[in-house]
Amino acid sequence: MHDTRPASTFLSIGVAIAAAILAMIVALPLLSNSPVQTLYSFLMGPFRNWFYMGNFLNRVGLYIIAGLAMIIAFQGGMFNLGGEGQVYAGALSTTMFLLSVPKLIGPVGVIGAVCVAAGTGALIAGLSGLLKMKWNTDELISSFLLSSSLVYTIDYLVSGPLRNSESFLLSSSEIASKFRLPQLLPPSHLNLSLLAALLLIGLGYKYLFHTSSGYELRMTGLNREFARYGGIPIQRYYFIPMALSGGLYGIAGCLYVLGTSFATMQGSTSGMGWNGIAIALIARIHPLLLLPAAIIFTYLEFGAENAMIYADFSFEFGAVLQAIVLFLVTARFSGFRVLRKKGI
Amino acid sequence: MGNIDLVDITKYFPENGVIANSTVNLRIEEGEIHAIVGENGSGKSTLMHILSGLIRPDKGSIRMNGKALRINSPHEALEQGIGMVHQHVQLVREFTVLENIILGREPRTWWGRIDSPQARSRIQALIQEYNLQIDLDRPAYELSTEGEQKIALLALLYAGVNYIILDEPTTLFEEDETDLLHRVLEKLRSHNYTLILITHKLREALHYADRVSVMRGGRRITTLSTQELSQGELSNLMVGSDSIPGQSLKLQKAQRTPPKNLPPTAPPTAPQTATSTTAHTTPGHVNPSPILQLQDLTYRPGADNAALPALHKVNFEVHPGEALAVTGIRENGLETLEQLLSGFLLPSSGGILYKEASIAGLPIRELRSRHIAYIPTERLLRGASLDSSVAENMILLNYRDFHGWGRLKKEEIEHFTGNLKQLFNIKASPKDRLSGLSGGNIQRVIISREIINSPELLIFSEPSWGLDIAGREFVFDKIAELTSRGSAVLIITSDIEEALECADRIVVMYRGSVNGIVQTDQVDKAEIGRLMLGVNSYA
Repeated sequence: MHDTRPASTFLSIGVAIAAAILAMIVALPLLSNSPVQTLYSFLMGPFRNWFYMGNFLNRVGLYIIAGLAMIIAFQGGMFNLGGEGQVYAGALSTTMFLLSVPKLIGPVGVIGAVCVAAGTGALIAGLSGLLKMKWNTDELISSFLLSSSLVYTIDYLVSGPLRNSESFLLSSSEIASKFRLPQLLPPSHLNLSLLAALLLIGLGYKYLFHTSSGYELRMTGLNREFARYGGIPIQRYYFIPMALSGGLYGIAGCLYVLGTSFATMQGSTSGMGWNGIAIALIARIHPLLLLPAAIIFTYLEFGAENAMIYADFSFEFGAVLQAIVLFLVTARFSGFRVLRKKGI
Repeated sequence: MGNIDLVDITKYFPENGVIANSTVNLRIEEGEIHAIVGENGSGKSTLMHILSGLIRPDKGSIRMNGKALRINSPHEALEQGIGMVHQHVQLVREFTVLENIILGREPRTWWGRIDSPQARSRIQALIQEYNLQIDLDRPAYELSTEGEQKIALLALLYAGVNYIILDEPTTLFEEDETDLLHRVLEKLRSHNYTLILITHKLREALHYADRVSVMRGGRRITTLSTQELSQGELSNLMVGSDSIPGQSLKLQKAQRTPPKNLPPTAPPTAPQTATSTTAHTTPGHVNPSPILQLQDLTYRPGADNAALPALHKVNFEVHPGEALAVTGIRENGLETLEQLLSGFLLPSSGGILYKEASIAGLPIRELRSRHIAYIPTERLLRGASLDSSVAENMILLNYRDFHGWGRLKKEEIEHFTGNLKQLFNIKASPKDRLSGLSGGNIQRVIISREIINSPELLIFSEPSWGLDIAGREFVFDKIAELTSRGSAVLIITSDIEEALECADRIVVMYRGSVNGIVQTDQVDKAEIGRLMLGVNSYA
């Protein structure tokens, strides 16, 4: 099937980013004692050296998966607000699984871990879908509440019963090195999970636009009444997009453990769930825009972190900058609507 | 205050190509009750929306005592003392009745707080005066339609208007409360209000109004004093029985061979009640079994869809090769019938038999797999996904044919959608977003999808909705094509001419019951008009 998105999407995203950077340049002299240096360290972000570049790309990969998780939920007309808990649970289940099967050969363990994490995430998010199906419970609320309680529970587990007493961190024990994903650019964190993410983009796109289930999911998401009228079993599509979304979030958590942290550390995946929403929106809920969207988002995040280290850039300003981009990208302001109507 | 003149009002809606008002001139005299009657789409509501500032005319002016008024918004109309009680009132659901009434005109205390006691006492006085009992402290979302209209009327009185337009005001009151409506209207008149009633209920117009204006096809046909008129005369004026249905239509009907084995139908001169009609159309042994059979189909709306009209013991049958139209005025049960037959709603009692098996309560997917096609009134909300591509809209019923192992086969889909595009002369690429197409092309996409699989039964609601003449012909051709191949078409339409033009038999609904079943070639428009308006049941 074909997607009907016009090229103006790229244009509007470009304009949004340019506007955000412009806003920063205008505001910097007011907020920083050394605006030039701050701007330099911000824009240089990932380009400072290969180490930064590797970490940057690694994060892009993880964000792609989180973004894809949200895209599938959005395409199915569902709002999964539980990404935080699902990623965290994916990370923990991966760790626990691999710690409990030390004898498995590497690749089998990895595949098993991905399945376990995906299943865990799918179960958690799918529950919200089932609740919606049975009692019309708002999935936005139920997924959020479920996730919040999970985050605290896992925090407790990692800092209590499951904590590795030999570590100085609030962390579980580390997984065996045979289960760790090959590193691509040591000493940076970049590993095979980036390629997995790119593969998932392709799979996600294929699923949404070239399978009958994807067609049913999208039609239900776009117009539930129309889907019902056409005989699509719409009840099922309260569950399916949520489960797929949760599954992908789980995989994001899993790959983070397999390639980056090798253990579940308290709060280490924090933010991935929320950022998935932001990235999905920047990508205009389309898998093929995920790579640029994740790059843009990570670049801004990275730049802000960098500028905080190397200049007197404040964390809040970084957050404001991200907010500006998100706002501009997601707001469908009238100018573009006119363009779109004219088919430009 | 004074007489209002609407001068040369013309309004064209380019989006559906309808000329709603064509140089309409109308005088509303101060202090009168003036009824405006007409069929659906006759332009009566548009005209009043123009007077109340909701719509701006393309041409023409509004004058009060000869002086041109500037009315560009409902707000400016209110400033001139003109207000309208709409059929479907817009309220702030979370506000109380009181808050809704005073919205925008809240009395303030000297430091800016809303002076509710003052507002309350003023409104209580109005409620007493006009006997419009309503609890001021209930939130608006708890109210029924009539409660909403009471609020709207109170709000206008509170705002101090002089001219009140009431759109279908009998929905304002329950059936047994119509006396109350009469009293309210008389009271308003005695307080020197000028009242305009928009209605399609002739009895109501003749009963309450001093003068009545008849609208038809966007023009004002005439204005008469109600003393000079009978219901029959008014009905003839409304449906325009003086004009015989078009010549082309006659020709078309003659060319079409009517199905030979139709059941006997009721003679057109003696409209039947629901029960006696059943006796008439129950097929004898010579008839083939009907494809669709309604048996005492009854629907009583529950709390969550109170806006849907009820149905009482509806009986009729549709036979293979037959085009049957169900017609009636809006809110007499057509919309309910559509929901029931399409599987979106469950009947309260009675049966829907399709090929002699009950289909009530079956999932829509099952109905679809039994070759029941359905083109809904809500073309754009239910019948199409505007944000999807043309191709995605076309394959809704067939996508399962194109998959292997869950994968959709691109080439087969392209072949299929290309075919539909050609067969139905759709001027768009399958890749285009549907919302970018013209109304006529969107219709073609929907129709092509529904009839390409040769359905055994097509439920077709308002077939020529929003179509121009060419589009209309196209649709009627398709209906004739289907019936000639032995399919049954059930047309649900509020347009008499459409029913006459494309159906073999017509079922006329009135107040949720069948008021008569007539054979198209043995009936004239006026007769159907009378059945639609329920004239016989008041005779």
